[in-house]
Amino acid sequence: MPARLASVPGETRDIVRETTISEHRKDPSSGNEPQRKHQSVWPEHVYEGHRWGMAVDLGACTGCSACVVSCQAENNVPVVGKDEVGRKRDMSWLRIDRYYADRDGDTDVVFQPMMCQQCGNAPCETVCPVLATMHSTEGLNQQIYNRCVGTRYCANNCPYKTRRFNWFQYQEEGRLSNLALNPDVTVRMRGVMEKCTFCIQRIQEAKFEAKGQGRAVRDGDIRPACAQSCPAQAIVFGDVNDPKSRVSQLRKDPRHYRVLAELNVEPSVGYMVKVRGRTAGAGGPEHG
Amino acid sequence: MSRTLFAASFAREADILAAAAEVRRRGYTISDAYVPYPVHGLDEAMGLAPSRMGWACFLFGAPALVAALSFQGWVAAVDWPINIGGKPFFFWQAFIPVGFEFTVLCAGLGTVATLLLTQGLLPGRRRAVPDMGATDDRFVLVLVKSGTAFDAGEAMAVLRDCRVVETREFLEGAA
Repeated sequence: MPARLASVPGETRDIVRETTISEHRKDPSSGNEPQRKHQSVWPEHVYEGHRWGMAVDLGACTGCSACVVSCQAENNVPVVGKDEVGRKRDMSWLRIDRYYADRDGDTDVVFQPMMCQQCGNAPCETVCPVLATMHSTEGLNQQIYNRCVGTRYCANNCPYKTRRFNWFQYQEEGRLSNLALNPDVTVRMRGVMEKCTFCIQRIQEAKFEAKGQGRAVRDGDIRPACAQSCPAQAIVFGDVNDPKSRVSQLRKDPRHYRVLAELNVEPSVGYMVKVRGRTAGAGGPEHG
Repeated sequence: MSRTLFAASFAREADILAAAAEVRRRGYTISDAYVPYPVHGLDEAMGLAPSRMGWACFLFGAPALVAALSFQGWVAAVDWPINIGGKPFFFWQAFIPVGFEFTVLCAGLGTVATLLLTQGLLPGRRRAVPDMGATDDRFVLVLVKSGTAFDAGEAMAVLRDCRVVETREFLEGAA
């Protein structure tokens, strides 16, 4: 897949952005483009209290796939097997996209963990005929499995292609492996759509614990499975309504950008521009 | 008190149109006309006022539209607000199809009910037909005889000019 998508001639959308360390030292926002504020037909919803968000550092990500494995284990995501993956029926809620660029015969790679972006103006919610996906008051895009009838309109309308359809009754197949299921996470049935929940079971647990101790949820209390297992600590999760949280700080960083932000879907997940340890001009491509 | 009526049957559409216009010009009162199919221009020839059924339709439809829109708005924005794709809670654009359908349903049923009630066409009620030919190939014009200046001789002459086929007198409601 190209790192830039051309939608109309002359307009390109960067999915991954990168720069070099020398450029970055001169200008911390190098390789990044300022995000335009788009006009919206409707006024934005106000999220009082928490609003969960995530920042992923493309510079730190090594593409080791620990986040994918931990997400699979935490959220009872079925292992579909080689045949079904070949039919594009993989069900991992979190995938790692790879973007390659040729650099004088050498190859540059950018890894990009891609999960549900929990868009503020979620295109998936608008098209659901049975209201099986809607927004929580904390900015989470929720999927209601019992209500879903499996039209898959939402997956078709998702610009990030992060929604997964359950084609089989996987949990009835491996009775023994069911013992490894996480009891905190619902097991989905055949014919429903599912996707990253920002590990809502962990959010709820941290909120209940904080409530029991009579305090507010602290930054760092909640760590989704992917953030917890990332050896490079490339994934940061937190409350973007709290200006002191790490994710809020990262959002103000000049390296921060959001994928396909020009669609005005207001994703809650942001990425940090990848900084390569080489000098500019040494054949280093500015964009993949 | 039932009136005495005078039914004149015609064989052609043009004849009943001419007869209706002529007897009305001469001051006779037309009770009704019975025709096998809708005859264009007969209402003008009979001097019928425009139907008020449109008002009944409006009176049933307008409150239905208001009710459908306000109920949807109350559910969506007051009783159970749901954030769908960042759209406002009062997403009125989505109320239009249901509002339209409910308006059409209530206006349609209300108009039919109004028609049946005002015309006395309740189920089980038999309405007399002055000439059964009106269900086949006859065009029947019914004049009011009693209580009006009805000159039988002059009327017969006028009707004969319009090629009347058959005439008969009967009591209203007895046919």
